[in-house]
Amino acid sequence: MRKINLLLSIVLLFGLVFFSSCGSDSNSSTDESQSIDNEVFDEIDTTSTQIYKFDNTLFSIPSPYEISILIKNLNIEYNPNIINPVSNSQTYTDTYKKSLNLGVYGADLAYLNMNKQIPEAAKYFASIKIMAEELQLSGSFDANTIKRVENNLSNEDSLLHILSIVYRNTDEYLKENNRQDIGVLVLAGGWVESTYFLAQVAQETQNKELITRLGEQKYPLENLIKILTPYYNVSDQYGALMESFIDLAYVYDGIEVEYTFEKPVTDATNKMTTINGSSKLKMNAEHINMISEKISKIRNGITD
Amino acid sequence: MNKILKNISVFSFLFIIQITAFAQVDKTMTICDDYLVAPFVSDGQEYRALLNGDELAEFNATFYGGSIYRVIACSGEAEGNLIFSIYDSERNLLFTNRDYQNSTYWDFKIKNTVNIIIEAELSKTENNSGFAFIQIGFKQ
Repeated sequence: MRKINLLLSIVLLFGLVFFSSCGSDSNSSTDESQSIDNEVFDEIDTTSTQIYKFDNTLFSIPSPYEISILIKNLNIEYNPNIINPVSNSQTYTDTYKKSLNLGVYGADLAYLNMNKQIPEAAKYFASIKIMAEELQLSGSFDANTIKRVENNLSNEDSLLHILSIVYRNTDEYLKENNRQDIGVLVLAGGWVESTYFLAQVAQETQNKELITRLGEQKYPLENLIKILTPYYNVSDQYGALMESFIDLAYVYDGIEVEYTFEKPVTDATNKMTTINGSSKLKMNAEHINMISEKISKIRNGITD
Repeated sequence: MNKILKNISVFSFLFIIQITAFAQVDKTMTICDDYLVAPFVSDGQEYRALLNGDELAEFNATFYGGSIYRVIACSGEAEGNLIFSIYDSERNLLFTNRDYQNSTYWDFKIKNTVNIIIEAELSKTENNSGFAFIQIGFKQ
């Protein structure tokens, strides 16, 4: 009798879930971002009690797009050799490599996009799409979003905006579905690739702004290590990746930062605050060489 | 039969809580998304924390020199439910939206690269618990 009661309850509950889901679909908004969100939520196991895992201290990594924008704004010539060849995507057969290289190709696509390499960008996006499907990320790479990206391949501003939303939805989708182990790899791949760009271009051009930005990766690297720490024991691959970041962090430890606080100025009318604090990095050519060498090694370990 | 009704009640209650939570999260994110529009580009990450009472959520980020960032803070189904404060790495207060009617968003012009800490807490006049969402965008 107890079994029958439980069974009946479960059947009724699923009925309730089913009809409610149908109702939710019929209310889909015309707003694209909302429709993506709805799809994400529709795919969540609503019987799970661990949907909202959280940690009240969160760490952020700057977008890899910011590096591409900086390189572009400095009028540095496009270099096709610094991106990961799209043909490599076929060699990534396991989830670990696919996740990392999804981040790598996202950074590559931003670089191509900023340099108006439209046919190449289309190829990279096609690979990203396949890898996302293989990683079962259809919730954030839905047909509508794919169409928007394809329609905006020649519009660098719109594409950057759409891609950033796609990657944010992917991050959200993975967190919602307790697949943060994949999300952290996508994030790590994007950071490694953009830092690799910085190192390559900074060494080639000896541009001071790029060298400084490379030194400033000290902060995001610290945050990345904190983000990855809970996943150290997921597999030997995760452990090795993290150890390579810690090894790189030792080099960054040699760079001293002198921070001076200055009072910020707020313009309430325009809702803008200017942060005036200054920080000086004390680093030398050897730091840059060692960082470049280590980031290249990490990056090649991901892409090869 | 009483047991069936009891089970249904418990499941239904839990289910309704979850559906309500999803609807609320959806609405909150829409409020946030409304401010993450061109020329601002998302940093590609989603920051969320569940807060109870006086709990604080802490978000650590790096803002690059020479850039303009937008921080958007949302909770619940209306604007102004989340108070956010920004500190530098030495815990000097750089900004709090508490001084500006809990403004949902604020822009930051960064002269030199800084490591910042964003603290978020629920407005005392609103719910006792809820999700805190922070979005970070940079100016293209």
